[in-house]
Amino acid sequence: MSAAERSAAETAAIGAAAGAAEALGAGAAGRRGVLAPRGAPIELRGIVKRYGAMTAVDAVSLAIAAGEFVSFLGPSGSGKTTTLLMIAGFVAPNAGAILLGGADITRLPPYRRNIGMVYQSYALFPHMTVARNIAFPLRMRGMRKAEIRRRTERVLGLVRLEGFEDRLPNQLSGGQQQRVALARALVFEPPLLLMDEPLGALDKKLREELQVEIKRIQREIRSTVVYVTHDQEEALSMSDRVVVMNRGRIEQVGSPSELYERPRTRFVADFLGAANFLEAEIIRRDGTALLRTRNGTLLEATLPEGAVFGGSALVAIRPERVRLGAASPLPEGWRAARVVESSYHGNTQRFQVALDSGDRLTAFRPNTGEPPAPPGTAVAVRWEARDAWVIPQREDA
Amino acid sequence: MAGYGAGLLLLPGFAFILLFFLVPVGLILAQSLFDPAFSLRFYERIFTGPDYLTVLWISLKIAILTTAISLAASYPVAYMLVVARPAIRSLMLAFILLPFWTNVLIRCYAWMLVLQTKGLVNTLLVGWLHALAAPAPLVFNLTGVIIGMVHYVVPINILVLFSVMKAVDLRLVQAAKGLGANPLRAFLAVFVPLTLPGVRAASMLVLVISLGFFVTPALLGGREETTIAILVNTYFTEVLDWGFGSALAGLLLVFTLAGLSLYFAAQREGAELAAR
Repeated sequence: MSAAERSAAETAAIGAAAGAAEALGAGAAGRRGVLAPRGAPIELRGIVKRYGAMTAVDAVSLAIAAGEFVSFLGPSGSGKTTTLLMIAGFVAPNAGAILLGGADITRLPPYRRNIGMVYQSYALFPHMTVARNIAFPLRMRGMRKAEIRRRTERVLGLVRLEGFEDRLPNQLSGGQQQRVALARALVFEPPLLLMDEPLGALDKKLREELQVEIKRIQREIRSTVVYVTHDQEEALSMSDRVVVMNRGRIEQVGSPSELYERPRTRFVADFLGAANFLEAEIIRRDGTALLRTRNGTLLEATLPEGAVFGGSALVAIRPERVRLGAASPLPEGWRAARVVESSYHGNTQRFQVALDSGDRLTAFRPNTGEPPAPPGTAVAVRWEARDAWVIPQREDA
Repeated sequence: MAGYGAGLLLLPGFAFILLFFLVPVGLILAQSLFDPAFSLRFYERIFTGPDYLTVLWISLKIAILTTAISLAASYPVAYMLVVARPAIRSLMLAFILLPFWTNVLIRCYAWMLVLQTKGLVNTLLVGWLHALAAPAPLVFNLTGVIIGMVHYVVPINILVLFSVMKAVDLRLVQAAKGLGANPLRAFLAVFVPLTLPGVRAASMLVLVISLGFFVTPALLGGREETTIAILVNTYFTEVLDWGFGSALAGLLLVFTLAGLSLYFAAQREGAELAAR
């Protein structure tokens, strides 16, 4: 803590950084800005990357605001890393343009882009000490020795690795190596920071710790961050906006809660968390819709605004929104069901239940110490109309 | 106790080495030390005699020049092998190994035809291009020896360098470019330092091979290019002073073993660096 504050004081004393912050109207005094805050907006305009007959990235367009934290989320092969590599300049797009801070960088080689990048494999230079690794981008920019030392010290404080200057990368733990990689990507104050599954090689505990750390650093330096991950929890907890990618295309862009609560496609609903999907016929609509499944279950669901529907629709219900209760007497507004399967997950109990109509649903119940309900138990289930969400059916879906 | 079975498997190989290598080398070394009673007389003669140290120096000079020139020629080729597409790489490897399958004697005579006064190169330079007034002395001197030796060791050099460079993580070079290094600086600051242990290992191996080489200096060199190996041959087959010849061979063996131990030390260091 004190080290970070000390370096913040130093920054203010240096003046140049503080001046830059004030010029941006950000109020440098209030924030503990360690490095000069100068995130830049980035825009992708219909970028395409083909490998032979395979289209890895298919006309991706997206505008990211300065200082925004945006995650690309998707399964492997969805094109998220290829998109990142195109922004970094390691892969040339077949079509489209990339604009950083308003300037077209599509044809610029990577070493002229001034973009920081953190890799899953850390990519630390094994023959250089921590200090030399961090100083590398500064030396490439021909910076003076004194300035290099000052900046290296500051950024080591930022990632809380003071005293590790003279270690070699192989003398550090995975988490420490990733901090060094982060420091090296930040030390030259890039307007954009790219992170390619930076925590993928770490265990769960350390990953969560570093997620908090990365968010703290990002808040301090106000850099624009593009973060690639296949971990949905990571994307939801860290991002201002999440871009869900599938087969080279953007499925949906939105805030974490928008994506989770109001997915626009079955893929998004399925990829983010778990979902019950019920295919149903719309039989009445006004504000909410009344639907009937093929098995005859009647249910109310919320319709997305402005979407056009044919006769049939797909309803998604999150398992944690399906409530379970005692079967007898059946409370008003609840449905009778029977437990088909139950499993124990520590903090939750998970059930598969069959409604009287035969439709099956998965329900998660927080583990509050209630006795488990074995298969065959009669139960009551209920969900609210706002928790049943109609997914617009796409032509190609 | 459990190691007995595995130990037995080593027996044939060990017996072979013992019978056909260690025993003959031992006999040679014994010859250099007994005259007929134990004496260091032969070794004394090497260091006190008139021209033997000069010959040692010439041998070292040829070996060092060969090593340096072959490194300069091999490093870029090995790098190309690493970054080439698999199909191109196979083709390149085939061409690199081709001279390996040709007898070294034949290669030496081929070089004579190419390099001699009325050879291919001089005919071209003097007769056709008129670049030179008189033929350049390219063979039966140091130039000829170096050309022949480099030609012989370059494939070995390339293969050793290639095996080390393959282990270098090219993503590090990419990362360097991402951090603002242009391709040349990324290559010099990241790729080259990571291959240095391999460079040391390859150079040691080439040096050791060059030091003991006989055929090429004997055929492509002149009187000034007399090496220890040639001297050993002379003392065994012409002077018939086997004791002194053995002492010269012993000296060569010491140099070779010293070089080899440096080679293995460099390799170990390289393996450690690659394992990081």
